This record gives sequence, C-alpha cells and structure tokens, in this order.
Amino acid sequence: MRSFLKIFALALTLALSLSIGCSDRGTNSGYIQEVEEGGMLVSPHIYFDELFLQIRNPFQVLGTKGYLPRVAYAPIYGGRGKPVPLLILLPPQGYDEHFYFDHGLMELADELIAKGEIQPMAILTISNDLVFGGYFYAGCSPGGDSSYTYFPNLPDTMTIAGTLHNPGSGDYDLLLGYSLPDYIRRALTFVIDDPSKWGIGGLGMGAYGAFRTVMLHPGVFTSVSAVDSPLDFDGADGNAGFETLFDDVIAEQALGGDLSAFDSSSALPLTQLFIGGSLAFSPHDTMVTLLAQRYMDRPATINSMTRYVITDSTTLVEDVIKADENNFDFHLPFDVSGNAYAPIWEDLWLPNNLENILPNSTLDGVDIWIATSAEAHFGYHEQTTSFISTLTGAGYAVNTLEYSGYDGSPATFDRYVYDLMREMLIFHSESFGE
Amino acid sequence: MSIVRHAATILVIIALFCPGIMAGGYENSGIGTQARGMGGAFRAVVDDWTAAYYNPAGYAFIYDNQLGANSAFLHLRNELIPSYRLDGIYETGVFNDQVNVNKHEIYSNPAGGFLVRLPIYGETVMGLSAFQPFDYNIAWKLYDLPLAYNDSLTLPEDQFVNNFDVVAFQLTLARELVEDKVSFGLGIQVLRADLIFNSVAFRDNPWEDDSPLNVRPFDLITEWNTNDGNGWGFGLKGGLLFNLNEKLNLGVTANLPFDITLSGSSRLEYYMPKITSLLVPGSESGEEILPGTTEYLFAAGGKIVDTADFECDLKLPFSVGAGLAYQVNDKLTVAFDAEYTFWSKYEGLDFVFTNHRGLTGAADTSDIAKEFFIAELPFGDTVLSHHAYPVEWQDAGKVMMGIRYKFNDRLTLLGGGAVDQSPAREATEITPQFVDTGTKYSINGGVLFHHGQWDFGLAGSYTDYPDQTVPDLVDSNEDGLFDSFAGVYSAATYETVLSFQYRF
Repeated sequence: MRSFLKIFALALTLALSLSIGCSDRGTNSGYIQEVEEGGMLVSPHIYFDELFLQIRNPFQVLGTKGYLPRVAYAPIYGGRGKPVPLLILLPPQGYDEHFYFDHGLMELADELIAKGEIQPMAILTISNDLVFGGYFYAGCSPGGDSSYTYFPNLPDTMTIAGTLHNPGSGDYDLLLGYSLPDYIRRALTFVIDDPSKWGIGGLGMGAYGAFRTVMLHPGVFTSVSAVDSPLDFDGADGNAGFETLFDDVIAEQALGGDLSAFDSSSALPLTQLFIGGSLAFSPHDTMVTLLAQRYMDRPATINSMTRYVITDSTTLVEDVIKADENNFDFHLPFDVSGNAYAPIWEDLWLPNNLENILPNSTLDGVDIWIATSAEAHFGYHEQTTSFISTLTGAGYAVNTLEYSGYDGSPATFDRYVYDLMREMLIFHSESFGE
Repeated sequence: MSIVRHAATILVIIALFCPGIMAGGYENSGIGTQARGMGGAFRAVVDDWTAAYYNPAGYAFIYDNQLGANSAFLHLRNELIPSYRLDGIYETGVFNDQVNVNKHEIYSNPAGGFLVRLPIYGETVMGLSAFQPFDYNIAWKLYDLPLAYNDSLTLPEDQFVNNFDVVAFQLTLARELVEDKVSFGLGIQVLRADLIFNSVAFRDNPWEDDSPLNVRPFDLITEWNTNDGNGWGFGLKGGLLFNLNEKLNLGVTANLPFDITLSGSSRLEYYMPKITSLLVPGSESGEEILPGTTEYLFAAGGKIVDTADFECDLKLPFSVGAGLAYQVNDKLTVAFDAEYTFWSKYEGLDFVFTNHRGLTGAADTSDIAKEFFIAELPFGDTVLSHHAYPVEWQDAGKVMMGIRYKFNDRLTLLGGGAVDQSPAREATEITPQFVDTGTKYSINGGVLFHHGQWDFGLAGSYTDYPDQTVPDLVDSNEDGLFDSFAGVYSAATYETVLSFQYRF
C-alpha cells in the first residue's frame, strides 16, 4: 500500500507539473494602450523684418506647426508641465509646415514616446516657400541688401526702419538663427532653454537649411540631421553636383537658345530648384517702390532702398516675377547652353556651398546624422555622400544611414519620410541625453 | 533473442542516421493513456481499443470486448520574437523585438471507441471509434495598426489562427490470418475536416508609387482575413501484427487518407489608411478626395469588408509505420516504433474565393478598388481571387520508445520518449500558424489504475522544440504577399491525457 501511495504521489506531482506548464501567459500588446497623445500647435507667425519683401508674402507670415508631447502640457490640461527638448524640422522643396505631419509625425512621435524609444520632445516645423519651392533657407548678403523706412505717414517718432538681406527670398539666416529661436524662448515656455536640448533637421532643401543654420549660428543647436540634400553643390570632384543638372534644366525648359522664355511652372521642380536658388544666391533686384495697404487703410510707402544689382546680363532671367508684382529678377548659374557661368556659379553660388562655409564655421560639439539613398532625386545622393566625406575628412563624427526601398517600392523622394523621421527622432533624442 | 537485437538495432540506426526518414506536421501526437505514456511506441503492443489508431490488427488478439475513451489536453507554449520589417528596416506594426506568446488555450482532443468479437467468418473483431488523426490549434495576436497609419481602428485579437482538425470515424475489422501468429486489421474511415484559418496580410497599395495615397506607411494596406470551413473525405488504415515468438511482436501499419475539399465562408477585412492631411477641406491635395470616391476609400481610414465563399483542397499525407514490442518478463514490456509520413504531398492552403458580397459604393464599382478588395492576386499565369499559403514540406519521420511495467494487479507504470522530425525543413516554412521548428524531443510518462473491469489512466508528456530563426520575409509564390514571418521562434508542448476503459 505504501508503494501504491508513492506512485500515486508521483502521478499527482506529474499532473500538477503539467498544470503549471499550462499557466496563462496573458495577451501580447504593442503600444496602443499606453499612448498619451500629444497635441498639435498651429501657429503662423509674422516675421516682419525677415520676410519683409518676400515674393507673394505680403503679410510676412511664416507657416508654423508644432507637436507638443502630453507630458509638457500644463497639469490643468492633463500634463505634468515638464519642459522638453526641441527639434525643428525644415521641409524640402515645395512643401509647407504640414509636410512632416502629413507623413505621420505626430502619431509617430506618440508611438515612439509610448514605446520609450525617444524622450518626449517638442517638434516645430515651418513652411518652405511655396511660390518657387524654396530659397534654400538662405539670406545671403551677396544677394543684395536694402534699407527701408516704413509707415512714412506716421509721426517721425514712430518711424520704423531696418535693413534687409535678400528681400525677395527673405532672410532665413536671420530667421532660423536668431528670430525663431528668440521667439521660441519667449513664447514656448515648455521648451528647455538649453542648446544641448535643441536640434534641427530636414530633408532635401530642408537638410541644407538645417546644416547652414547650424554652421552659421554655432551654439544654437547641438544636433543636426539631414536626408538626401544639396549638401555639396559642385560634388566630390568640383565638377559634379548641381553642375550635372544644368543640361537637364535646359532640356526641361526647351528654351531654344532664349533665356527670356524661361518658365517657372511648378510642374518643373528641377527648374524651380534653380529659380529658388538664383533668387537666394544671385538675385538681380531692381528698385522697388511698394505701396502697401496697412493699418486702418493708411498707405505705407517704402521710400528708400539700396539694391545690389548684377550688371552682367548673360544669364539674367527677367519677367518671371512680373514688374507689377515685385520685379525681382535673377541670374542663373548656367548659360543657355547649360554650361556653368563662372561669375554667377563660382562667385555667388559656391560661396554658399556648405564645404565653403565650413572653414569659417565650426560643428564642434554638434551631433550629426545623415541619411542617403542611391535612389534619391536630383543627384542628391552624390552630393550627400560627398559632404559626408568632407565632414569626416575635417574630423567630424558623422552617423550615417544608407537606405533603400524594399523590393518593389523604390526609395524615391518622399515615400520613406515616415521611416526616416523615425530614425531622425531617435537620433535627436539620443543626442539630447538624459 | 537475436531477432530482437537485430530489429532494435535496425530501428536505432534508422533513428540516428537517417534523418530523412526520422511524424510532425499536423499529425496528432496520439491517443490513449497507455500509448501516450509509452511515447507512442504502441504498434506492436496494441492491446486496448486505441489499436484502431495505432494498428487495427491488434484487435484480432484482444479477447474481451472493450469500451474506452480518453481526452488529451494540449497546451502549445510557443514564443515568437518577430523581426517583421520590410527589407529588414521598415516597420509594419508587428510587435517586433519583443517576446510574444500564443493565445492561452488548453484545447481538448477527445477520442473514444469500442470493440466486440463477432462470430463472422469464424471470429472477426469489429470496432467503431472516433479520433483525430490530424490536429493543430494555435492563435496569436502579433500586430497593431501603426498610429500614423490609422489611429482609429483595431484588429481582432485572433489575428493569426490555425485551428485544424480532422476527425476519423472508423469502422475497424480484424482477423487472425495465422492463429496466434499473424493478424490483419483494416480501418475504414469517414473523415471530417474542420478549419479556421486567420491571417494578417499586408497588401500592396494599388495606387501609383508617386501618389500621396501610396507613401509610407500607407504603402501596404492591412488585411485581416478569416476562413471557416469544413469538408468530408475517406481514409483507410491497415495493419499487420506478427507474434514472432512468445515475447516479441512486430507491427506494421499504413495510413491512407484521401484528399478533402474544404468549403466555407471567408471574411476579408481591410483596415484602410487614415490620411487626414488629404481629407482637410480646401487643402491642395484634398480637393478631389471627397466621400464616395475611390480615393476616399484609401484615405478615410474606414474598414472595408468583403465576404465570400471559398474552397480549398486539403492534401493529407500517406504514412507507414512499424513497431517492435518485447516482453522482457511478466511485468516489463519494451517497445520501439518508427513512423514515416509523406508530408511532401501537402502543398499548404489555397483559399479560392467565389460569390463575393458585401462591397458597396466605390468599393464595388471602381475597378481598381474592387480588384483590390476581392483579393485578386497573380496565380501562375493568371489572376485569381484567392489567398495562398503555400508550403514545400518534406517527408518526415518519427521514432518512439516506450516501456510498460506492471507494478501489481492494480497499477501499471508507463514511460517513453520520441524523436519527431518537422516536415518544415526550411526555416521560412515556419509561420505563426505552424510552429514546428525542427526535430523535437518528447518525454512521456503515465500510470494506469486497474479496478475490476475498469482501467483509469493518466499520462503526460513534454515536448521540447529547438529554437528556430526565420531570417527573411519571403514571397515564395510571388503573389505579392509574404509567405514567411521573420522572427525567432521557440516552442514547447505540454500534454495531459485522461482515460477510462471498460472490459466486458
């Protein structure tokens, strides 16, 4: 009988062991349940000086849109009022402040924060210019300066005056390097006021703008991210980059040897790229007398201007911007045969090439992330890889990502923005530190 | 004794050195407490009603009538750490890089039967039984819609499901061919197959690559489909049992199920992208995307449902087996079995849809939308409305060893083990719906309690699977849908069998 009991106990143990082996392990969950949804800030802002005469922007408005994580909300709105780092994203050519959000930025940020892959951060995007697709987020002095006196009908004590760079394209150097950060510090109190917690990035033309801003304004941002961009105008050998596109623009235009037939249609993005660049780097500004209707219908006349005018008309394109609107003309960096025109290309465009800005700037202390795909348009892959080489050659550490589309879905321009944003957010979050 | 040594040696050699003939797949692990307690090595033992399953010839040497039943309780404790990314990079919403477990379910696998000795042509033993020769049941939740894709909808939890049963209703007839020496048994089966098969698929967005409707993460549209059907078929099971001498038995079996056509209903649910930016009134890109348009279907974030009838051919495999049982003394019996199943015949599942219904509006009238929603996919040189889950399985073997020790008149102890090969030799054949990761090892044990004419049994087994890594997403039949599910799979199976038997 004792043996029987031993055997029975053994069998019972076996049965219990199997029962334990059948314990419930629960249900898998991803991240949906834990998401604290952030909010969206849509806040167009007027930058009077910086965008004073920007083409077809009579109210000097810069489209601005932002993401605010829930944790940064004030407690009365369900948050904890915790200040957060800041990331500014610049859209590519032809896109506005909605670009990144249209590709799922807010939901992606919510997801990554919920999964703990990034720390909560505020993300601000601005609009690129939509008239010609963008001006490389530049504002360079070679393009011309103007001084102005505004509201002349006001009493003398209230006269408003200023000096502008590149009035037609706007002064993004001033805007991104000073005015916008200043506005953020004053108005967006949920952002940590510490350069180590500020980053900037972009795709395409936006990436050029991000690097340009970081290089011209050291100490404002300490992380920069870029994806396939005109980062090296003349390529690795000095004769590539944009120079390989000049013929393509001529072919796209079908000019027949006459630059006056130059067409700025938005259906010609390559053409628009060079119009925007020319208005930024090689404008042929002419005297403008602007009659503006402003407060209480009081006329305001710009009564004083000094303009930079390039006397060489070899590559001058006139009448794209009609005189009755603003009369901003521009000089292309290539002639009607598609050959680089040195006085414009070398003297005005290339000084804005990042590798030429770099020696007079510094990226010390700036975390750098650059992604590129061999399938990128406009030869941006070659320009991007060349700039990576320039940076590494100068001793800077660069985090790089070579990406391609999956089978059947090439990595053309904006198809992978969603995925690239994921990588950018993670990079900046890690750069911000604890 | 030399026969025993030779036979055992042959079986061991088969087991160790011939992986090509070492039954996995959807084969049931077995029925009966006694057989399961002995690791399944029962073809040459076959002295209870479960001989209908293991070797019908055993009925001929059972001299009392029997009535018995059992239920096996199985729990598949599998884990999956997915790495389901397009091109290894691009996220889809699958729960990557985390340990996921299959849905908790302990499913029962009942069986029962009786046998009686009848005075037909001398003496013929006849039995009726019901059991499941093929069985698999697993369910997973592995996916959420990415928030940026659609933050309003959620999928059902039963996302990846394979609930596959084939029940055999078997008439068994057995006779002694040579008195006390050789018997033959034949099982004539009516087979009933039932299948619930759910899957999540990522369908190529039909819009052009440069369309804002077709950028990441809207490039792949999430489809959840569930297919529920059944079918009837026939099967044959035959066996021979040789009493080689007073101590040694040899059993030889063959099992031939015929193909079954499953038919039933399918439900295809499409969780559409929610592209808010394209729906803003007055926005540049949203002007044309108005309710009722085809574009609206692909941007409004709704759920589109198509229901259809389906048919699916089920090609069940032929199998053969052999076993030796040696009665060492009055108390101890040792048994070795080997089984070989021709799983290469099985080609997977191909649900061919007809009689679509449920689509309305633009989903039904627009060619681009309708073709998409009725799952028209390339199939060979044609386009067919279907979903295919093809496999290229290989034949698989299984060897088993068991011991039975009659402790006393009231108690019998059982023990055993098995080595069981997976028919899915290529890692890419492993999917959440079929986690048979490789050659697996089982350890079995059990007890039988005897009380008068009653036997009560309890057996248990644990099966350990090797970890398996599926490295890539593969579209093996080039229909645009991935047939593999990348990730690291690990698995274990627990089984408990309870039984009773009445001898009369």
